[in-house]
Amino acid sequence: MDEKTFLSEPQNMNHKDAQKARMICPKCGAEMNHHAMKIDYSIDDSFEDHSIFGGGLQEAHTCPQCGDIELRRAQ
Amino acid sequence: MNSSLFIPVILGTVRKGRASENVAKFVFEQVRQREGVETALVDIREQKFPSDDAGEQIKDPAFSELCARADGLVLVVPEYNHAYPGMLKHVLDSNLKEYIHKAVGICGVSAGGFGGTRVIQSLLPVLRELGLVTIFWDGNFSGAQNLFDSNGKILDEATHIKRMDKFLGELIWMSKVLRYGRENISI
Ligand SMILES: Cc1cc2nc3c(=O)[nH]c(=O)nc-3n(C[C@H](O)[C@H](O)[C@H](O)COP(=O)(O)O)c2cc1C
Ligand SMILES: [Zn+2]
Repeated sequence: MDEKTFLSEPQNMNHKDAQKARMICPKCGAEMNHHAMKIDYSIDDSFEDHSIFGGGLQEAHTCPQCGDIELRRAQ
Repeated sequence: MNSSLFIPVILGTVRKGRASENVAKFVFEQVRQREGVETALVDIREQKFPSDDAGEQIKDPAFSELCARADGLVLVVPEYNHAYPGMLKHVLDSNLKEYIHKAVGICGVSAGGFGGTRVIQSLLPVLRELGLVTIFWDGNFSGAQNLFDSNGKILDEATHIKRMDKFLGELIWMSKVLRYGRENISI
């Protein structure tokens, strides 16, 4: 895999998923980058499939333009 | 977006007479001298977090904003009974999204001769769960009560500067890489 492919095409995500994941920055309107999944222990997940985690799953998005960080509940 | 990195230094104890304060000032000065890096010295004693609740419920807007802006953190942490001060954990627990995929380095401070290695080891799993990415260089400050002269100047400065150079080199590299990753590489 050359460097360009490595950086631009996450291997575990097809283009449809990537589109779905795009979040718009509430501060500046740019497209944000979804770079992590994180357990949020302040969310009660006892009714969810993945309740073994002990918290709700959050997607972490960062804005490449202004640096804003947002969490969004994973679908 | 500002192209400089922002790497604040957090002084992780509220104890009166703390030797860690001298260490934090020394480390802060080393970070401040790095080109392309902005920093701030943050004293958790000044944060005034309530002690009748925990987690994001007690968020302090200024502290959260500082962590959100940060690309990396330096934690200056004294060893208390082989672990970290509870107050530092209380403060760190007040954020979540602010830490994810950001770099962190630890400077351990101890009275004993092991340079706070036990507090560093005990803190690593906490930082990992917070979403921070730990580096493999540490700052180690043994015999902290005798490490500075009466003006707060570190003794054996050359040795400590040399060690800090390795620590900061790794932390800055990791901070740059992670900033690129947060902004450009999707999961
Ligand atoms: C509650 C408490 C526990 C301590 N436990 C240790 C320890 O386990 N190992 C050690 O080397 N020093 C220990 N110390 C000494 C500190 O590491 C020493 O004071 C050092 O200067 C760093 O802490 P300070 O910034 O509060 O001064 C302890 C100090 C306190 C107040
Ligand atoms: Zn933005």
